[in-house]
Amino acid sequence: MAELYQVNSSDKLLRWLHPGQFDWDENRPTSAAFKDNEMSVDILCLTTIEESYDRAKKLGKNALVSIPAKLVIEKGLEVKSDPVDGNDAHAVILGKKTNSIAKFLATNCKVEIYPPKDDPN
Amino acid sequence: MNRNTWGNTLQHTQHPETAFIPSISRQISITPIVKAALVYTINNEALFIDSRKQEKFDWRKNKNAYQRIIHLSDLEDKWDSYNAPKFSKQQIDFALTLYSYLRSYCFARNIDFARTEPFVAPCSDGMILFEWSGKRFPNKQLEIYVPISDKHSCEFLKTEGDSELEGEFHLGEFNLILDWLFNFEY
Repeated sequence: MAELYQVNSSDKLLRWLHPGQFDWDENRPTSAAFKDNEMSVDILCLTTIEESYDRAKKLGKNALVSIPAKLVIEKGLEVKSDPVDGNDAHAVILGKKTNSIAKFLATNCKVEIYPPKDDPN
Repeated sequence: MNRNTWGNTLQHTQHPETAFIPSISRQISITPIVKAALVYTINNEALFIDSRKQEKFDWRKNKNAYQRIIHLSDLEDKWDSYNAPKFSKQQIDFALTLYSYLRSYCFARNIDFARTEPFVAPCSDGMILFEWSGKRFPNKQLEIYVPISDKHSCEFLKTEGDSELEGEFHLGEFNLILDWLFNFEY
């Protein structure tokens, strides 16, 4: 059995956003996307932004942001590799996301891909 | 008794695939979706169209808070492709109550609601976010979270510069939080 990837502070984590969680006029994510206590992400060094985005689009998501693992760890959260069927890059960020932490993640993540507002897809 | 039925509604159509709706003075196409959306009443001519069911809601373009709350009911389990739960009717009703309080507050304080309308977003943990943030609110920002059930309280996060304060509140305290946001002083 392959050893699980050990996430370190230099990693980048990718998170898909539902269109309702993104302010399309200001091109910014809202805290709504960063609330779950077991928050799924992709580890960038185990995939690519394009691959992750393709998976997101197949599931009806259309924005993708990246979060430096360093910021997550600094907030006392744990990042654990958690490969799933069809996605070896999958990981979870464990720990309670207070409203303050959710806003911190929304403010400090980088929007990697988002389609134009008028894109029918 | 004048009972409207599909039969006598369609009798007044110019084409078999369309129907004239007196309450809106328009001829509309009768697709299966429209047929499902029409609700007709007894004893009067009024016909109500639940337009929100006619086409998929556009979360990107539609920023109307009321519409966004209503359309939370469209989201099924795992709507975020992760593990987000669907929104219950009770929770959506409560979000509408908060929205109604907000409108009343703006009316009472003579605040232009259109300029202070929150951005409403579905949260991955099942809560509902009312957000006053971004370019429209450069000084003070507020996030209100509507809980999953009435067993939990509403939550808030106030931000002003580097200062943050988060906590819980009851509906009766909502005005005080809004007073903080809109700098209203007695």
